[in-house]
Amino acid sequence: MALSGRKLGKKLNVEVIILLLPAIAVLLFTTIFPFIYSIWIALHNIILFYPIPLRFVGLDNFAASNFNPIYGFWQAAQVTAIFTGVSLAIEFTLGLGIALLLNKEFRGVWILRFMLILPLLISPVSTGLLFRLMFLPNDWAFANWFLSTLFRIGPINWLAEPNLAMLVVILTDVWQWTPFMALIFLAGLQVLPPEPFEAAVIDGATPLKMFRYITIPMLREMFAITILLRLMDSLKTFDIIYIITQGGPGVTTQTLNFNAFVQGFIFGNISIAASQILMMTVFVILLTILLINITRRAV
Amino acid sequence: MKGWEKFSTYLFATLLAIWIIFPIVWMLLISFQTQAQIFSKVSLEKFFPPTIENYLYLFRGGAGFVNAIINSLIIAGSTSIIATFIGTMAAYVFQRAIVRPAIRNNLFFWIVTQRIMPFLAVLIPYYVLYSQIGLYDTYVGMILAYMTFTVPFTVFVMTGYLNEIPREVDEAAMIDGCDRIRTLFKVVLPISRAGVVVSGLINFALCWNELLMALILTGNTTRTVSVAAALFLPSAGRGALWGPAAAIGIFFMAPVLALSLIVRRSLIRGLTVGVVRG
Repeated sequence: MALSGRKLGKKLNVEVIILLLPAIAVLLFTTIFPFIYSIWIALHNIILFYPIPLRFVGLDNFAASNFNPIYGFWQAAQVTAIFTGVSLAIEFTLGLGIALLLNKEFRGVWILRFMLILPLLISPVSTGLLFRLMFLPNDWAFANWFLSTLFRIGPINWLAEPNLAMLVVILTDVWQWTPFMALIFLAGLQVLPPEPFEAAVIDGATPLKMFRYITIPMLREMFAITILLRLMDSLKTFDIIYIITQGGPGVTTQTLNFNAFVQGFIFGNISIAASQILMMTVFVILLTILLINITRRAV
Repeated sequence: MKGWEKFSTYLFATLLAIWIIFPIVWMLLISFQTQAQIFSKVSLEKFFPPTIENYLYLFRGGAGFVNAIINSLIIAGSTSIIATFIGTMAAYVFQRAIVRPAIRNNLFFWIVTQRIMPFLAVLIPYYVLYSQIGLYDTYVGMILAYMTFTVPFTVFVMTGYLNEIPREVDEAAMIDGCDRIRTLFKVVLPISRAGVVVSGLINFALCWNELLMALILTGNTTRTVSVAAALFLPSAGRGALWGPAAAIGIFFMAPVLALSLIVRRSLIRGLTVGVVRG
């Protein structure tokens, strides 16, 4: 090339800075600054809507979140664990089943593959409304109408009963996110090499055995990545809970994220909320690193 | 396929189709019913004649809905354009490896952490900062906040798209005297138009759908559709305006649904990029 190496290097640097500068500014504003400022807020005693003298309180907020049940941290952690665990387990199982079903070729399969993407495109706010309307306590709402027509069960007040409210929220999450798992698994199934299966057929393997000893091991890495992605999003769930139950009845469907929102922006204990979110973020990052390491070792 | 296998396949396929479609259809039906029809028993009169009263209610100024739509268009539109621009430039630098690997890896780690981080982790500091410097309830404040997830997302998607354009294209342009910036905007981007459009649309959809940030950082002047939709039901309370609530739900999902169906193929790729190795 005509350009000397040195000149090229210098020119590149200026250009790289111009290209990267906006992104780096965004990085500073959206990651570094909030992180440091969050720690600062968590270490002080800020209360919203209510001016009190600013005071450095050290780790008091973290201690209060952990040991004072008023701030609901551990209750919310329990709810989060149940919500995330149950919904992920259902989504994974159903998602894999749907992927296997749609991996077959039959008439009209393309319609289903197409429909599968619909729930993913609908905003969580609308999804929340969909299920809120289906599970209203009135007798005309779908769930009650269905049960009373088929089984003669009287109208149930779904959202007033803790377990049922949790069930409705989980069902909503399952409706919205099972297709995500199914689509990824389907894409994975479709790029599997045919040779091992042909060999297995020659050796007389049953379809069940082929699934257990060929399909699952070959997809294991993809399973892990998909679960990891869903786990990160599931722990952050807010919209559907806000619309369907508002965390109720009582605090029985308040996840960590929702509880921090209530503590911070409804009650105004923004420093408490900051400490809870910091603990949650650190936990999630540690969990992610752990899971990535386990996956790497297993695969 | 054998008989019973065929039967069970179609059985499960039908169940799946009903499971996916039914909630949407049910809300669509409610959105076209009058209050009396909603509460009546299942019969022909429950569905005929359909009414558009619920939609008219929204546009006649119920719940400040028209304003909310304008706000959402301004915020989602500007964020999408700015974020796609910034993210694409960064993606180009990463993909063409014109920075040292160490920097590259660190920035990619940032993109991953953005996905892990709960929104509240940035919202709490933003809220405290915004209320002090007057950015609370402003368009600028919302656009800045939405950069948090749109820029990393653009970098992620565009890196995939740029990967498909051979480096020889860049080299040819540079031999002809283009610098890196002109190469990107005049040569590379026109080729990967599809990628830019898809990231722009997904960014728009992400902002249009976003609730938590808008709930906290907007007030009466910049309230978005998502907030208007979310606040409508609780505020309707026992007054039970289920018809308009359903209409909001349908109206709110319609634009994104329409946009996404147009770019469906690229969208599936955008959603699953990096997970499936073809």
